[in-house]
Amino acid sequence: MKKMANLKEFNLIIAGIGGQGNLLASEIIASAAVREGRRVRVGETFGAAQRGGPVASYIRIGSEVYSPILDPGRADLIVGLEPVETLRNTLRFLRPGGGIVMNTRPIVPVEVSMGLQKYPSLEEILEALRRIGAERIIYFDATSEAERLGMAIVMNMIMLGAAAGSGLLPISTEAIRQVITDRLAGPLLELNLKAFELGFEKSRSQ
Amino acid sequence: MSRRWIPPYALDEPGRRVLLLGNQAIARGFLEGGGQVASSYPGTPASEILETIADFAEMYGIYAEWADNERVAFEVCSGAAMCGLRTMCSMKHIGVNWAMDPLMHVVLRNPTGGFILVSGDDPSQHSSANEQDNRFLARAACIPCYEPSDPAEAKEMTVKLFEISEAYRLPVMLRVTTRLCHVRGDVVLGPIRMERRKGKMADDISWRKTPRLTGLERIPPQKPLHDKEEKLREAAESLEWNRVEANGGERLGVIASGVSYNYAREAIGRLGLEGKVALLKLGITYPLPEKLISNFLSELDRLLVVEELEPFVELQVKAISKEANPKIEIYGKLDPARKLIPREFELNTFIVSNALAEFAGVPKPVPPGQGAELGEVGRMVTPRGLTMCAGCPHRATGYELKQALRRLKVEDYIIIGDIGCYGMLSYPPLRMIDTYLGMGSSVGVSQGCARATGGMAIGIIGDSTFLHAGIPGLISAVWNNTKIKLVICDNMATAMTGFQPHPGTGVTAMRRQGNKVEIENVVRGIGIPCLEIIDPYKVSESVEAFTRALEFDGPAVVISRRICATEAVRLARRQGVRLKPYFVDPEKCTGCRTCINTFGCPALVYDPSKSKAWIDTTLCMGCGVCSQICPFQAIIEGE
Ligand code: SF4
Ligand code: SF4
Repeated sequence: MKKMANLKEFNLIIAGIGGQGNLLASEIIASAAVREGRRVRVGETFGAAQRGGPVASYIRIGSEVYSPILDPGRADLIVGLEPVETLRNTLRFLRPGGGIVMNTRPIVPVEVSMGLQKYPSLEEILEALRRIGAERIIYFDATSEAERLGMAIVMNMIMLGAAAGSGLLPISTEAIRQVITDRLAGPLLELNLKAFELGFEKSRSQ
Repeated sequence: MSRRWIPPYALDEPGRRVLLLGNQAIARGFLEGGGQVASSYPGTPASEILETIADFAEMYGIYAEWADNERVAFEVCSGAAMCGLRTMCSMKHIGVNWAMDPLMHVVLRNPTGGFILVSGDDPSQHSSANEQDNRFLARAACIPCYEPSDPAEAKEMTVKLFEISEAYRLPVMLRVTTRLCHVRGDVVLGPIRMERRKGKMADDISWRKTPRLTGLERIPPQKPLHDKEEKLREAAESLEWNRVEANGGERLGVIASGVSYNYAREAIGRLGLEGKVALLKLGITYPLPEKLISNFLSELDRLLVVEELEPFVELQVKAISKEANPKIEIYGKLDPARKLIPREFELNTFIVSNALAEFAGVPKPVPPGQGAELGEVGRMVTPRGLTMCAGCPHRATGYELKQALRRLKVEDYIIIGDIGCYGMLSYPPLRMIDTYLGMGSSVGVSQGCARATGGMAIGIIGDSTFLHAGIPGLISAVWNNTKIKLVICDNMATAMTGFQPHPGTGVTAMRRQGNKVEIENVVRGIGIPCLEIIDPYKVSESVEAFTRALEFDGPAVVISRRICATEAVRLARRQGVRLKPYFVDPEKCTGCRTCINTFGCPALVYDPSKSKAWIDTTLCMGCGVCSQICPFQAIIEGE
């Protein structure tokens, strides 16, 4: 973890498609940052949240942050819940040398199944991410891991854990755990924490 | 035992710093400012304001409701404000079009309770059919317009606006945009105002007298309104939401309003122009503080106005500059030679940095990592359009209507859509909506099309939209015997804006049981001669029903009823019911792609390596419609 007393600007994107739990993940990270006394802006678009369209949250942390959205080439870290969405956002937003944490399980657009568009292979995507300038890429099939835990929707928590485990977040893992513990209760909390730790370890070991 | 989690916007902990969504911050401002009545109709980006108020309403003894449209919501709030309570009416920008009629009148009634109209504008049309700048509507109604720059300021303004509104006995507009409504930021909670007033209908209050007097005595009713505007212009001079933030050494200045202020502020920093370019932040954009602006202009040779959508501030500043500094060059959107800020789409720091660089004559920022060699990577990124959720009942409804049209060999037809998730029937593979206008317009527009062409005109409208605005149109169709076909997609929620309840559900915003308004009773009451009610998950029966309605010689309505798939999944999860996904039997699948090309549920995926379809079980919610469509019975229910 990069602990910076005087953090001016740190930009993180959580990218996925509607229904993947993107918004909850971004709210947790941002709440953790507020808990640590940071100035925070999170920009999101809700319109397509339920309908399988691309959804990205821009989380900006630091004393010089005003705009709720991000400009091209300024993201320090991209957490991608879906491969093509990771690529889409990396191409537009990642700064050279930035990091990526990616779920490798695709969600295939209807146009691809209809044979009108092509979906790139994982190898092609990884190669492209590197060409854009990603320095550190952590990737694994988080959806399968979530299915093994018995609930595909906790994929977002696994990815949150992976982001924390990457060491690329300027927030303490403890603060994130604390927010999750405040937010959820009972068996749901247990499952989500388990998912978080699983992602954390996965990411550490890469 | 775990205690119930209290969301940060509802905490009674003054001084605590929390993360709030812009809309939650406005709702919190309502609470801290002593608001007592809130009414609204859901519309992105404003929906969460009322949702949040409804969430803590019980706890703090206030009242919140969804009305069936914005006009009614606005009238409810008008009544409450005229009886002396603090009230807020929130809606998306085009909702204000609906409220315009009562708005133009309540400004003449001197309401005694603080009255805030929140207009959620949507630059870039994230979830709207137009980009409309409602600051002009505030101006048309002669009410002041306030534009906060972030959630913290939005809360602060809301609290204060109750006082301003009461002082002038005039509704005020809090104009926000998607990048305020749907932005989370750190906000410090303030004390909650616990005063609970009792509304009065006393005879001595002027709004009861006004209408009685005007007709008889011909008092020019607009005069007091115009006087208020003058006083508000004065008052704007001293409000801290308008402030000169930086002085410039080079006689260059920027005026930025609302959310645009953030972009301007970051752009100045990023280009290293601190101390060189002066910055005036505007939180009030109508009526403008003329003296403050005159003074600002007098120090400058050139000015850049940064605002989203229309040149609303720029027009006014231009007028002020005539007196204050006629030689000043104003850059923004108006002057063709000085056009630096686009009039369409939302802004961001990059756009503003570019404009500012050109304005100040410094090099434009080059975004790192955007080299031309990345074009190839760009072409690899698969486009992803919006689509209805897996299991969405609208997709099935559209499919069945199309099958019925095909069966009857109707060729000359037009389908008019409306505002809701079913609008996505216009995307592949169904591609079946020809056009749409505003809320409820499918009913009227289809009548015009039917009259003009003599062909088959079909309207597709949602449950909430029908109750919002479709009823008068249907009355007209029945009355004139215009032979439209109207499909009412009843998914038992206002799905597109976040699953709010509506009159057809009988549940209120505060989660109480109200009375249920049955759509079929409304339709029958109007006297529609042909009514079919279907379950879209039953394909062949539904195609039959559509066929009958299309064949009927007169106006016909089909109500297609099935709960929104996303809601169904949520309910199942809550009740611990496991939904069973379907599977494609690879033995039986011929790879014909009928399921994908005619129906196109996102859970149906085609595997080119095996030339077979498969079902993504993380998306499939078990509706079973595709299994009724596959000509080879290859799609089977899971265990
Ligand atoms: S939210 Fe509901 S109505 Fe809207 S597309 Fe999804 S399933 Fe259909
Ligand atoms: S599942 Fe049926 S409709 Fe779909 S591709 Fe296979 S055979 Fe064709």
